[in-house]
Amino acid sequence: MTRLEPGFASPLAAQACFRALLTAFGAPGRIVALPHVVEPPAGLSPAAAAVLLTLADPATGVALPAQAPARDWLAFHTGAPLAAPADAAFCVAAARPALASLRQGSEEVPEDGATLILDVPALDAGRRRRLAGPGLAAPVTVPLPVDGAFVAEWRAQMRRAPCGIDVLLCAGHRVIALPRSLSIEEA
Amino acid sequence: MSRAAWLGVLARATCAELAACLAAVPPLAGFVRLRGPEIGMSMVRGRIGGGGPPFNLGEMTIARCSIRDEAGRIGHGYAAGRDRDLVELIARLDAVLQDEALHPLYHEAVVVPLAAAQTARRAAAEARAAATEVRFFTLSTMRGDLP
Repeated sequence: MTRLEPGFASPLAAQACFRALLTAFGAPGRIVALPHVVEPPAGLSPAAAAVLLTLADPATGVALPAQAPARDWLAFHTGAPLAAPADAAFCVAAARPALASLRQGSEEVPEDGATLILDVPALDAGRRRRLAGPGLAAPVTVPLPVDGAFVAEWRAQMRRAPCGIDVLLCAGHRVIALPRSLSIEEA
Repeated sequence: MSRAAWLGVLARATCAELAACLAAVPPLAGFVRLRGPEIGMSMVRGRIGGGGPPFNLGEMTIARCSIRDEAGRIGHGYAAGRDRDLVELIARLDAVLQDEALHPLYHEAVVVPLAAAQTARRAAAEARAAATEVRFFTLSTMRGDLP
């Protein structure tokens, strides 16, 4: 029997986290602290675990990095089925998969595009990148913990708009949201 | 007795009955709540005569709780109604009843007396109902005897 960790103590915690995620996606590139985190199962950051508890449900397939320990936890608390990364609505990873390998959505249903929940060591590390787009009154230049290939792949994804994926960078109890409408360039 | 059977016995008990039974045994292990205790609704489905197509009879209120105790055992408690303390106690008992070493002690102290009391209550209710039973086959036999 694998050891199960508790979920949110109250539905209010999930609602507060949902509000924080709205703030994060509304202000791309800003570091947003989740108001409630839980002790995560092995292999997930506290923020990624809280995001899954907030967003995953029986209708969303989730791809996990190492299937073993977090699998029972996810099924018990959310009822979300496991899915292959190419089919998942939420893809949780510590090693970044190619953006084009995830579900992209279609012209008719772009909301079918996956959300990549990427665990990174730290949110305020990495090369400085210039962000612009909806949610930002003026372009901002912030350190972003993504690799150079990510920026090139992101540029290719923007040419396929409105299809594509959204990204949540998670470390500790904080997240950065990168909605697909965002333009990311090397500063 | 299967896990489903003891969960059924516990779910039909009241919180006070469980507390009374637990007074005679060592206290239950410490625990953390995995989910709940929380109150929700569950759809009850029925079949007319036990054989018709299933239909939604209506929703009933249920409470549930899942816990993990100090030994890492996971217990679940579900019961009709809104009693959060009851389902938490059921979940803790479910966890300890899964332990092979502790099972006999708690089974004898809690599950057996509760099951006996529930069987007695049910037998008394059935006896009251049996007194008013109408045996329709008697009438048909009499009619068959008429010339």
